[in-house]
Amino acid sequence: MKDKLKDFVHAHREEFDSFSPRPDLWQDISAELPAEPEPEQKEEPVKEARILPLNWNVAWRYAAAVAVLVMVAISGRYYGSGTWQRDPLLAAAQPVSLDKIAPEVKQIETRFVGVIEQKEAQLKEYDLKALGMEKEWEREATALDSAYAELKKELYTTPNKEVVVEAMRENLKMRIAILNRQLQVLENIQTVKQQVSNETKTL
Amino acid sequence: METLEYTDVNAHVVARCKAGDRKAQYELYKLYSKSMFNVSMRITNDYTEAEDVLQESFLNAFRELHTFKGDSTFGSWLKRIVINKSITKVRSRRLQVVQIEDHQDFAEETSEGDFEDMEYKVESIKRAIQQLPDGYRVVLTLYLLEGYDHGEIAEVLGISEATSKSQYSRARKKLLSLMEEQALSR
Repeated sequence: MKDKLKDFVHAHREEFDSFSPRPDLWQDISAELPAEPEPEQKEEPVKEARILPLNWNVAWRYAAAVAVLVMVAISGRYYGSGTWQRDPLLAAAQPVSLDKIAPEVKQIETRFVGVIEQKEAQLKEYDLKALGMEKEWEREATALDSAYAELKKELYTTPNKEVVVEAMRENLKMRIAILNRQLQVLENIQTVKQQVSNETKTL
Repeated sequence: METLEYTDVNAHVVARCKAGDRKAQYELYKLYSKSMFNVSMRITNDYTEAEDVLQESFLNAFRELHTFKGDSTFGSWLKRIVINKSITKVRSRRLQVVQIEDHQDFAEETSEGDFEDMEYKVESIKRAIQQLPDGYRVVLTLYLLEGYDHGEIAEVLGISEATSKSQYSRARKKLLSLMEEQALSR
């Protein structure tokens, strides 16, 4: 026999669970449960050690960038632990313009960005793809970019602006240093090539 | 043929609970407390008793978790505990769970097909369930809402399957007549 009532109830099953226990019932339950065992129980599963290939030439730059970020974060927390609390809403909204908070950033940016753009333009003249250097440069540039963006965000909430601004300056300088290195490497390659072709000509 | 291994989605949380992890226990509580409370509310028809049942059931479940072998889901294992405790509550009120005699006349008099064309509403069904005598309410909610079949109902209530079936059919008629009364008195 078909049970229309049953079909209806099944179709509306969720709506039948309309009661809720009092919100603090868990506290009562939890109080009566045996105490949690010591943390030895929660041993992390042993992870297999993996060795990642590391290019030391590149690694020091990341390490430096990370160290600066960590320093900024720690000092920010340290100085601010008493009176200042990081407000994520404030950080997200960024209601005040950067000029008001740190006018020196603009100066720094105008000073360095011109140089960086010029060097990047120089770099573009080389065929990086052919030399297999394109990927490497891209990766480093992105890492520095995101670190820079992070610092800029930090500016809005940090109580000690100077440290952050200094870190931003370092970031830009690092970028120029990397560009210089790249250009030098490329120049060396170029001269070697030229020498080779000169030699073949003179022969 | 491929054999399908039945795995509980909560298996890893349950394992952490077995080790006494309080956070994991709270996770399961959050997941099941509301539905289990409603199971008990329907059977006991009493807010305070339902809360007692909920508290006792979770304590019982966490303490006896080592006896849970995982041949069902944690949810249905817990539900069984809640249902058993709720039935005990109702019985301790010294009201017979199965009161066939009291309602026999009514059941026999009602002809098949009465109220069958009525338009159902969740609210009116809920209200009518609360008005059912204990014996009817338990069988009806176990069957209609908790998804128990008559074999399982017979087992938890200690009655025969045939009794469960006839109890359900009577409870169902009583429910529909209560709904009809509601509709008329409005």
